[in-house]
Amino acid sequence: MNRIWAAVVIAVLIAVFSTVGISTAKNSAAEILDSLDQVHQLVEAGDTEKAVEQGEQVFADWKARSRILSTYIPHTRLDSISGSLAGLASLASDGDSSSFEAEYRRACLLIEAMVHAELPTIDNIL
Amino acid sequence: MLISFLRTLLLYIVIIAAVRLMGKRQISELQTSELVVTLLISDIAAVPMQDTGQPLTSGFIPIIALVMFEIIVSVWMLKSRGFRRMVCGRPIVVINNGRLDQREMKRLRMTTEDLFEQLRQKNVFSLEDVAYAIVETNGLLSVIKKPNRETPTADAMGLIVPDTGIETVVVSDGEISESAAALCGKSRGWVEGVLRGKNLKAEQVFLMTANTAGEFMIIKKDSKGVIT
Repeated sequence: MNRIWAAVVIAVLIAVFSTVGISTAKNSAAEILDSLDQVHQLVEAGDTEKAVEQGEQVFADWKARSRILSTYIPHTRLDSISGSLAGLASLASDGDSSSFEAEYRRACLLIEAMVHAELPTIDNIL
Repeated sequence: MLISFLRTLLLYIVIIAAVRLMGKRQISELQTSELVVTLLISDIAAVPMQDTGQPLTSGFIPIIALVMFEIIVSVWMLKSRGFRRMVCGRPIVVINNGRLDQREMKRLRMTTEDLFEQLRQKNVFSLEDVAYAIVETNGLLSVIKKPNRETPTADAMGLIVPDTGIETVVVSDGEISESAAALCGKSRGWVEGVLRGKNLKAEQVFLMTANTAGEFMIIKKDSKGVIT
C-alpha cells in the first residue's frame, strides 16, 4: 500500500515539475522576446545608444534566467541562445543593420525552438 | 571532473532508492517488466553521468517515472490474473509425467542442451529422475522428481529429528543484533550471558550464530577455531 502511495506521489511530483518547467520556459521566453523586440525597434529607429544598453540588459536578464532553465533544458540549447544574445549589443553599436537583423532573427528562432522543445507535442514525443 | 563525480554520486543514491522502492522482487529473480526496468534505468543513468551538458533531471525524471510504472504494473499484476498473464506469460510444462513435451520446447525455443543445463543446475543428472519440469515465467526451471528418485526425508524413514528452529547471526563483527536474537527467541542478555560464560566480550567475536534450541557457535576475531 505504501508503494502505491509512493507511485501516486511520484506522479504528482512529475506533473507539478513538468507544468512549472514548461510555464517557466514560456514566461522566460516571452519576456526575453519582448525585450529583444524593443532592442530591434530601437535599432530601426536609429537610437543606437539606447539599443546597446537595452541589448546588454537583455543578455544580463537571459543569464539570470538561464541558471534556472539549465536545471531541465540541455545546456547546449541554452549556450546557443547565450552566444546569439551576447553579440547583439555589439552588432547594434556597429550600425550594421543587416548583421544585427540576422542575429536578432536567429536569437528569436532559438528561443522559440527552446520553448517548443519543452511542449508535449506529437512531434516532440515521436 | 568533480562535477562528474558529484553527478555519479547523486545518481547512485537515486538508483539505490529506486531499486529499494521497487521492492525486494527487483533484487531477486526478474520478471519481464522488471528486467526491462532494470536495463532501462542503467542506460538512462549513464547519460547524465557522462555528459555534463545534460541536466540531471533528464536522468532523475525517467528513473522515477520507471519506478512509478513498475509499482503500478506490479500492483495491477497482483490484482489481475489476466494482466499478469499478458505481461509475464504463464509457466510452461516441458516434462509432463516423465515425458518430454517437444511441442512446448519448440514453442519456448528451448534446445535439449538448454534443458539439460538447467536440470544439472538443479542437481538432476538423469531425465528418468524427473516427473515434471516447469519453465517458470522468469525463465527458470522448476523440477519435481519422481517419488522413488527423491532424496528420502526423515519422515519417510520414520526418524525423529529434533527441531532446532531458526539459526540467525546474533553477533557480527563485534556487534550484537537484538533483532536477530529475537528472531530465534533469544535476547541480548542471553547472548551476553553466553559470551560471559566463554570469557568473551562481543567486541572479541567475529561471528556468533544461535538457534531456537539454544545451540550456538562462536568464531573469535583473528581465530581459526570455533567455540560451541
